[in-house]
Formats: sequence, C-alpha cells, structure tokens
Amino acid sequence: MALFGTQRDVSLFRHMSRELMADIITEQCAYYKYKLEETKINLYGEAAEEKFYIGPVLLNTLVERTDNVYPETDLGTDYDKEVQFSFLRDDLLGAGEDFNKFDNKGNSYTGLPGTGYGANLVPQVGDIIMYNEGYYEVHETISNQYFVGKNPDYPNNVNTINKTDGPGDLSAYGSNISIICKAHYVQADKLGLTQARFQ
Amino acid sequence: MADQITPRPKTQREILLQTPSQQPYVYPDGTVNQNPNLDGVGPDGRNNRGNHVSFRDDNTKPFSLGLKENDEAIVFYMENVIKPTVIQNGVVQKVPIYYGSPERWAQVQKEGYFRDLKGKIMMPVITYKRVSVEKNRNIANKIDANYPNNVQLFQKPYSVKNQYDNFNILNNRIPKKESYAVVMPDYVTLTYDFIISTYYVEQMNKIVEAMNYASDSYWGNKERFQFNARIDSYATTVELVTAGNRLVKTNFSLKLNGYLIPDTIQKELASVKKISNATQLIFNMETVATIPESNTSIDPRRSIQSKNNPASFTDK
Repeated sequence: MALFGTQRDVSLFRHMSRELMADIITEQCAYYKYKLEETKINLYGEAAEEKFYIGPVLLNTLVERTDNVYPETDLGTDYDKEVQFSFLRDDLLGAGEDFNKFDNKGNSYTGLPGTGYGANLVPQVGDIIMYNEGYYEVHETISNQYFVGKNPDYPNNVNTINKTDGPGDLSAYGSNISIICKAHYVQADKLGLTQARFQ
Repeated sequence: MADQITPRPKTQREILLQTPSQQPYVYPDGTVNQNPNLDGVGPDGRNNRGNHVSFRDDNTKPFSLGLKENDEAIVFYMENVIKPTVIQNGVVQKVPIYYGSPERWAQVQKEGYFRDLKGKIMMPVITYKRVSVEKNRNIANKIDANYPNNVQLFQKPYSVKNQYDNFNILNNRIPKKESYAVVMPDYVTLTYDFIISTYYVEQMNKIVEAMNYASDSYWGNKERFQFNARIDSYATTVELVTAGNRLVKTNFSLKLNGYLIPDTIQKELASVKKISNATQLIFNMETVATIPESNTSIDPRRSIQSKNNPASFTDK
C-alpha cells in the first residue's frame, strides 16, 4: 500500500497549480486541432487545398521561450523559434469530468457531472498553437511528470491485501500532472488561419 | 520570277575594305603608307587614332552586354513569360523569384513581401544563382583582344546631321552614313543553380511542369536580349526535419547560351567603334579665258567658264 500521493494530496496540488496558472502567471495560448474528417489530403499526404480546424481553444499554459534564430539557408536569412508549452493535464480533460469530486472513500474522481471545467482536448503532434501572433506546430508531446512517481492510469500491482477500490488500490495514488508540447514556428500562410501574404 | 536577282549583301571583308582606315595612302612617288593614323603610341605601337571616334552628342552609345544582362534575362522571363503560380489556401499565388543570398537588410526589410510577420520566408519561392561561366569557342571569336577586327557593322538608319531631303536628291548628294562596329562577342555557357521551395509536392509539380515547358527556348526580353536556355534534369526532395517544417525542394541546373561584350578600357582603346562612309569632294573642271598673270588688272574670277555651282560637290 502506498503511503503518500492520495487523491486528496493530488487535489491540493491541482488547486494550487490551477490557481497559479490561471490567476497569477496567466500565460495563455490558443490551441488548434485539425478537423480530420473535413481536411482532405492528397496522394502525397498533404492538405494543399484547404485546412479545417477545431478551435481555437484558449488555454492557460506555462511558456518557455527560446531565442529567435536567423539561420542562413539556401533561400536567404530565415527565421526560426522553438517554444515549449506546458499544460496542466487536468485542464485538458473532458468538460463533464470534475476532478474535485471524490467518492466517500477519498478515491479519484468519480465521473460525476461536474462544473464543466475542461477543454476536452488531447495534444498531439501536428497541432497548432498560436502564441504572440505566431503559430507553432507541435512536434513533440511529453507526458511523464508523475506526482510521487505514480501514474494512476497504470496501477499494475494490485494490492492483494486490500481490495479493489479500497485504500490499497494503487489507481488511487499519484497523478499525471502535465502535458508538455514542444513546438516550432510555422508560417502563418501555410496554415491558412490568417492572411499573411498580400501580394 | 525565277530569274529575279536578289541583292547580295556585302561581306564583312568588303565592308571593311571600304573604310578609310583600311585603304593605305599612296604617295605620288608610289610609296605606300601602310596606315598614316598609326601614331605608335599604343601598347605595341599600333594604336590607330583614326578609330578614336567620339560618341559625343550621339544618341547611340557603344554597345556592351555583360553578365548582368544575362542574369536579368532569366528573371525577366520567369516573371513575365513563365509566371509560375500555385494555389494556396484556395488563392492563386504568384511565386516570387530572386537571386540567391542578397544582403540581409535588403531581403528582410526591402524585399520582405514574401516573409511573414516574424520574418520567416513564406513558400513558394524560387531562388537562382550563377555558378559558372564557361567559354564556348565553337561558335566564333574575336581572334585577338589586342586587335579585335572581327566586328559586325550596324548602320545607323537616320542622322539629324544628314537629313536626306529633296534638295540633296536634286544635287546628287548622298547622305553620310554612320555605322557602329560591334566586336564579336565572347560566347559563353552560363550555368545557374535553381532552388524551388514549396510547402507541398502538389505545388511543386505545377512549377516544375511550367519550367520544363519553357526549357530549350529563348529566355529574355524580346526588346533586349534573348538567350537559349536548357534544363536537363530536376531533383525533388521532401525535407522533414526534427523540430522543423516540412519543405519540398527541387534543384535543377539551367544552362544559358549567352554572350559577353564588356565595356572595358582595353576594348574601348583597341577596337573600332564607329565608322563613317567615305566622303569625297569632286571639283568640276574650271577654265579661264586668259591667264591671270598676263593681265593682273582683270579679275580672273569673272571669266570662269564653269558651272561653278557650290551645290555640285558630290558627297559620297
């Protein structure tokens, strides 16, 4: 049986993180996901004609910016920038899932109808994030920050002494805290979201 | 119609032999001065002052054609004839072309229309660079840069100083004709490396098709110069790097059969630039009734028995 990292502990950190990101730091970005049914691709696997997006969804995030780089390429002086966006994973879950509700045993959220908080969004490679008038394409997603080192989605070792849903159930311990998206700058006209070319 | 005689144009040698500089002066004693205009000043004592013709007030300047004109022919043809376009976001987009690696300030600030708000280059773009100039000796050459006598003459069609009006016709006056001598150009094969960059293969296909269609034709401005351009092969790659954008690139080489006539000092000093046709004064025979010395009191001009018409000078 695990001693630490119960859902009450997780809830404390969730509340603190959410307050910190939403009310104190308050860095935001707009998140776009492709509409896969409507965005058609050609033989070469590219949507050369039109692209359709879900969103934008405004999210609180922690942003780690790198310096602008101006590499000399065959085409001339170019521009590039990499930005890392960190999201609180619980903010991205479904809107009907209230993470602060516990059953009477103090276990994880029960799936009861909640407050409607949640973006219902799964960050994936290829998504587009708009930040400071720039568009960034996600090329890497990292989801391995576990509270007390445990991911409740994979309890694996079911404690035989304690029954399922009891205090010894490892699925009631730990938390998957964040999703980190590493993204690079992409031309706005490629996405077709805003008019970037006037000639 | 079969026996119709068409005029045969003069050969270059025949034209050159008519010029004064090619006709040696023969002294009364029979000796021949090879060329009285040779002042012995030039680099090897053969500088011909007769060829030093001023271009002052002449609206035709000495002809020259450099590498820049060859380069400009390509960009003119691309922008005005081929006009490569792609469809992007449902809009027909003109593909900009520019010479590779311009100055930073120019490409970022002045020519920034193909960059987005942050300064990143927006595709599609076409860049080209001249990578080599290879001399082609199979066509013709000027023989010797020190004495470039292999020239082509171009006659000036009209000159204000020699208006050909009815008065001149009545007096059998032939207008002065001016010809400009242009030295035989240096024929060269210019090689350009092109890079076409697009977001999508589908866009690239359209541009490559357009370029391939225009290959093997004469590129340039019809009002200026045109050069034969050939493209043999295209190499297309799709670059998808980690933490980078997907980019479709096509590299190809374009061979341009161009030519050069530089405006160097050496050419200005050594070559014939401007030639006028031979001008000849013919005086009619004049006779007097009496020898002037026999009676000096009489004005001999009163007894001139010729048609002393000053307009009868024949200017050939």
